[in-house]
Amino acid sequence: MILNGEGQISIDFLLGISLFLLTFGFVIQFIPGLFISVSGEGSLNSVAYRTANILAEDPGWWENNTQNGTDWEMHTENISRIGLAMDKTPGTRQTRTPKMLDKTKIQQALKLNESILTKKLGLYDRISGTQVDYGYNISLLEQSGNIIVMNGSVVSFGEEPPISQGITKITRQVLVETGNISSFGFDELTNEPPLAEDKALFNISGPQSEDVVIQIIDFNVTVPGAASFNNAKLDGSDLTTDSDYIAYKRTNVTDFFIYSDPLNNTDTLRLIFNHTLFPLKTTYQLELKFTQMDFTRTGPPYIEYAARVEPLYEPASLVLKVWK
Amino acid sequence: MNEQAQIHTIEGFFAAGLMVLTVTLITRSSVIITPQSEIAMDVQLKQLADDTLGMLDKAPGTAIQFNLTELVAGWNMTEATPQSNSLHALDTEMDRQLNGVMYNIDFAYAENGTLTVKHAIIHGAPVGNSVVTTRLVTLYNSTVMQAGGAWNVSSSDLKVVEVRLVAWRV
Amino acid sequence: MASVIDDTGGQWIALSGLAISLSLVLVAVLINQAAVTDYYSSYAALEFPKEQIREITTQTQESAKGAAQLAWELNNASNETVLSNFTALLGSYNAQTSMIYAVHGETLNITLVKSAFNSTHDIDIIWLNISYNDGTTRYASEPEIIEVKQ
Repeated sequence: MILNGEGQISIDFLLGISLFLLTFGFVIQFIPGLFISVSGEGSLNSVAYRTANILAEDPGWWENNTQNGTDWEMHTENISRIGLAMDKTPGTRQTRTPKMLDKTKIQQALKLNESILTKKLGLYDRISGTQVDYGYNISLLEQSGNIIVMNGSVVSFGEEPPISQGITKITRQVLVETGNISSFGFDELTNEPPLAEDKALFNISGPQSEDVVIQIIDFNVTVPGAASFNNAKLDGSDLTTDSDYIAYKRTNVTDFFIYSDPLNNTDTLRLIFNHTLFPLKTTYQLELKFTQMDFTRTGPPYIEYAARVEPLYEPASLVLKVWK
Repeated sequence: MNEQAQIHTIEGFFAAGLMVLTVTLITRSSVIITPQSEIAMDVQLKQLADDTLGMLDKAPGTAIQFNLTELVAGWNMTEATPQSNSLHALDTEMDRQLNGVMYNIDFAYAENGTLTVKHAIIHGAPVGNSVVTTRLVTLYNSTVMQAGGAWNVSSSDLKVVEVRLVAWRV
Repeated sequence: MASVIDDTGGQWIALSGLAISLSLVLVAVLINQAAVTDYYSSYAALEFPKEQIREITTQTQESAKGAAQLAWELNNASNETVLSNFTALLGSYNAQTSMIYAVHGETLNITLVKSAFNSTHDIDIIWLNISYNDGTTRYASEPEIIEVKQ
């Protein structure tokens, strides 16, 4: 035992090597924490920023050999770039209405296949000649946080984001064209002669492919606090709330909520009628019944829904998520 | 004692020291790196602020009850104090859009040849990395009358008001 | 002590320590490089006044339309009276916006090039020059053509 000195060297070597390995292990453990927070998502920040910017503020572009324009939704074969901003002058390169998203562009983009979408949005990287697609999810959310539904389909592109992986997220506040609205001042509404009942009559010509939205402002209440909206009739038959139409009320202090009595002069009434109520190519007569309202005009002719129709914009957020 | 036995331990210490030193050096230098993600946050915040003001400015009546011009035109021109904000309608709209973000709003406008800045909404003192975004609003005598504000705009002139939004996250 | 220096058996431990340290530094430098690129791209997003430029054109468009309308309402006796009213209103708009922008250290100048006021006030067309400079970014729209429809 005493003669054999080899064991001593072993301990010294063990000490040296374990010290080295311990530190090495510590360094290895330290490295991911050092870099991942920075580089993992960092490199996609600019991609997310760029894509969200183009989607929200650019109308897009298409071109072939002879023509070009921002109305790519009409020329899906030759898309150069996909943007969702509305543009009333497709011949010029810029839009006057950034951050206002066009309904037809959104619906057309929803119809495009995944690979075209990825390519035209530029959501890929080229690594030594091969195209590596990023994962992405682009959704339009209402202010309540639900995804917007447009003509029965949810406005969401791409895949479900992974939970385990780091994703880069960017949110843009935009106005989205979700349908049509016809807005009337109460004084414009037409009643039946001889102004006996508190009802307003509208002519709505069918067929309607989108929900019919009627908004009424500046009411003429005869007894404050006692006035109300009662019900709606289409061609003489009663309509039911929820299945046929939904009524909302906005006061001067709140946003739109499901209608409840009473109706005041400063309130706004918004009625959304299901488009399936107007399937035929005829003129439908809609009757809105109120109580304690002061009508001034009588028909015929009754007021036309189509006379005041304009695009309905709603505040929404465009949420873009990108990951590798 | 066996003197030879010390040699490996010393080298082990040396190697360990070297690695620890490098790691410390890198962690220290990564201070330059970190603001990058902070800047990305700033970009997002700035974008949010820009979007919010822009949206309020352009929104048609069917989307938002009052747009920015109408809200500004309706100001009673009493300067806000930290205890009471003077433009509640604008405050409610902004709050709905900018949820979770703190903000102050000032109005800047030319009056008698000098620029006047007045506070309209105060929610606190901005922190270091707050963002500022501005938007111009043009007021006419008719818009002010309609909105019931206290602006003094001659009927043959217009008034340009800059809405300054300072936003920060807490 | 001589034997300590002569014994080179344990040097590889120290050497590998050095190698690891060097590779660490290398990785750090590379990643820093990528991060710095990102930093600049993010910074550029903050620096470039895209909203500002858009805002100037849209606001000027809108205000010119409003001013043309007001000019016509004030005195529509002839095209000349409308023009002189409009010139005064635009001058006031330019003076006020310039002052507001000067406070942020930016210059903005809006001038009237020419205008076509129609006596029936159906469609008026206004040509404006807009120029903006914030020290790094210069923007000019010359001319900005504005159609005023009644």
